[in-house]
Amino acid sequence: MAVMEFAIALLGSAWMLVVPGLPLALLLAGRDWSWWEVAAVCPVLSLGAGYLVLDVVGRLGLRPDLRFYGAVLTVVTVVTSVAVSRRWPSSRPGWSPQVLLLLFPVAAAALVWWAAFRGFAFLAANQDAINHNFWIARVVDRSSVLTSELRVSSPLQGDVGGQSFYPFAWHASAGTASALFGVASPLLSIVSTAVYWVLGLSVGLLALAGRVTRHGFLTGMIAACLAQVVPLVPGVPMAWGAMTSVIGVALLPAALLGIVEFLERPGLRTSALVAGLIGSLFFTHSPEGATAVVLLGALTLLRAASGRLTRAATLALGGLAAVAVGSALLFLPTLRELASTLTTLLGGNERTLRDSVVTFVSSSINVPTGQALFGVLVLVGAVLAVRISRGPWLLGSVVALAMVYLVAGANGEPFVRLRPLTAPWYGSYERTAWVAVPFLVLLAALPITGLVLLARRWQRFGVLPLVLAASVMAAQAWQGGSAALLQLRRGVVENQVAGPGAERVFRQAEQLQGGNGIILSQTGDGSDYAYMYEDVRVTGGAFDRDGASPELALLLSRLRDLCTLPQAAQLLRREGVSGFLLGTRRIASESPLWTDAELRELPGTTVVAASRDLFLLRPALERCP
Amino acid sequence: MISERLSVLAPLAGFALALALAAGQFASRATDPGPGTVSVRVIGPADGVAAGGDQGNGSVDLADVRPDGFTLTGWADLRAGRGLVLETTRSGIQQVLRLRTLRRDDVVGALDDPALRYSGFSISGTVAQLGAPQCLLLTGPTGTRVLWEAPGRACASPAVQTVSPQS
Repeated sequence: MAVMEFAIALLGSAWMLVVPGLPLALLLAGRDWSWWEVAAVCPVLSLGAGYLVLDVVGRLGLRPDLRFYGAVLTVVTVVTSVAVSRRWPSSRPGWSPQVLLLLFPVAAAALVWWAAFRGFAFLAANQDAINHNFWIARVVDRSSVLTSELRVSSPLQGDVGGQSFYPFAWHASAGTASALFGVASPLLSIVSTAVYWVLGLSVGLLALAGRVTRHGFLTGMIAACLAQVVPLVPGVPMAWGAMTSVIGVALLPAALLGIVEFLERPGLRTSALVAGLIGSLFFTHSPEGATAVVLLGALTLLRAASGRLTRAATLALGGLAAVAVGSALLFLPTLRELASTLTTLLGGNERTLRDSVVTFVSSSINVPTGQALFGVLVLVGAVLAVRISRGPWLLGSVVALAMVYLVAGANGEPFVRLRPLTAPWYGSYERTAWVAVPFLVLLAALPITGLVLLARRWQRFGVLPLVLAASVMAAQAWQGGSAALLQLRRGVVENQVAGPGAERVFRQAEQLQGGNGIILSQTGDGSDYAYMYEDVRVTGGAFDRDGASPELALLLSRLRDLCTLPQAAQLLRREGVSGFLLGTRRIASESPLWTDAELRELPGTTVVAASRDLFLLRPALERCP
Repeated sequence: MISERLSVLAPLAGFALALALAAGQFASRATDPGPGTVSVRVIGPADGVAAGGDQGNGSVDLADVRPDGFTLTGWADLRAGRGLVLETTRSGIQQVLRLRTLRRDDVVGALDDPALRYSGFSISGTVAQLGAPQCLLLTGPTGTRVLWEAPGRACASPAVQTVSPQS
């Protein structure tokens, strides 16, 4: 990967954060909002708005050139943002040099991701990444975000993907950015995931900390650093390439910010804000959308219990509920589909309630080493939150998410009976745990904030708490950082298919396919990445331009017998097969179909190029004995 | 008096320094994960439902483990969350393995519980997908048995009762 290519992918990712959400964020911001708060909600609204536009355009039968569409969207974003920001009061707090402190979490993230991927392709690990990258490539290919065109098996297929809903907001944004900036979708997808994790999450934490804690900037900055060394996320979802999970979690602080704003100042603006944020999260990755609904529900109850739920808030909540129910009706087929898969959910993992609580507060689920220090910081933070946080928002949110986790992860009564309610998180205890991470890091930041405040107050002995604060941060960086590195690395080592050297093979495949040729390939071995990187017409199974092809199926099933298959030459010519792209590793639970030695000596073929996992072959029947 | 700027920078600098050291150490050594151990744990009677209609909550009826792939077949009361658990030091096992649920009328009959009609399961995968483990252990109330061990590795110990995979 060239440095310039990476830099352009970074630029594309920054574009995804801002376009087209910036004018919406400015419009829905409160009059006293800081730039941090605007910057926090902007990426969420960008994803939701961008998706809705492309979805509506697609349903109208339009297929715009994505480069043109992306350019227009950029111009509209700039013009409307300027127009809206002129109406802002001049007293609004501006940017300050403090923004430079963001270099700390950014550098931490750069270090972790670089070390984890060193020696491998900068490509998200499979099994899930292959789906996400394929869908983004399809967005570019078809200029559409409709499920019918995206959820197909082969790059050669048309719109046979069915009608059920799938959250494609990030794919829509990444596809547009990929076309606009000319970056291959697999590179843009992982770079943007890292950018959402470090920038989206850090800014979100700073904004949220400013609202729910008393020393917002300090607490938010410490939390932003701590978030980079929690091994549970992004490490565990990235172990199998669940990039949308990472992005959804990164955007949760912004969602909570909107919810707090709504409950404190109910009205049309804040209703639109909270609906926009939660809707966008659903369109990005539904489990985090469900998490936001839980937070809204729990904090509303908390507000009501303290007698501070106003009539306006109740009315607005009624309106939101009506919109939510109406929207749910639109997704009924998908909900039915989801319900039918409930029987395949594995049970919880925890042995006792105590185990559940310990693993939750320390975020130590399926990670290489237990995060004891982090757990202690969270627990002390929970105690301190009573004293130095603003309102019950932070603690209330963590308790609500802990209850969801207990349902998904515990094994005793009464929680197990409620497990079907965790269907929006796929009944997975991991997923219900990692959505709490942004709020747990805020709690963990409180004790360190307290030490820093002591250092400022104790004139002569202030150095003691300051040294302690620095030591705790260093210890957590060491313990959490080591585990986070190992966890991310594991995913790459174990699950990266189409790994090192594959891009060179894809370039060769693009040359080999010629004008109208196709490259015969199978599914799940990484060969689909040729389509994503170089627009190679791989078949991804037995598909040709007309759909399922018995001829290609025959060829695929008899590849080992090309020399003895009587009609091989005729079939290859008729189907326009220019070559074969075959892999020696497969994703998920599939056994490899080929060995390295087999592919090197496959009768009737000759090797054009090879990488660690993939072989590009061309037919050479003239070499048959 | 400690300035506000120093009070912010000091913890962040401590964090950055320690993380740089951790990353440096990580990058300078062989970091690919080493061998681990995978344990399949079933809480409940391991002898199936035929043994006196015991109100158990699961069993592994067949464990077919070979170097190129394994299949675990049995039943588990997944409702109660106390059924089949694959314990591993590795990541993402739930996602790696293929789980199919199966109809088990015999379980319904033995335990008189219609809700267990689809309590059967079949989990398959390759041993490599479990993260290149050295041992695959099945742990139940009657003890632990070794389902599979890597060549040259002796997974049995005084605390581990070894039986053949097809037992």
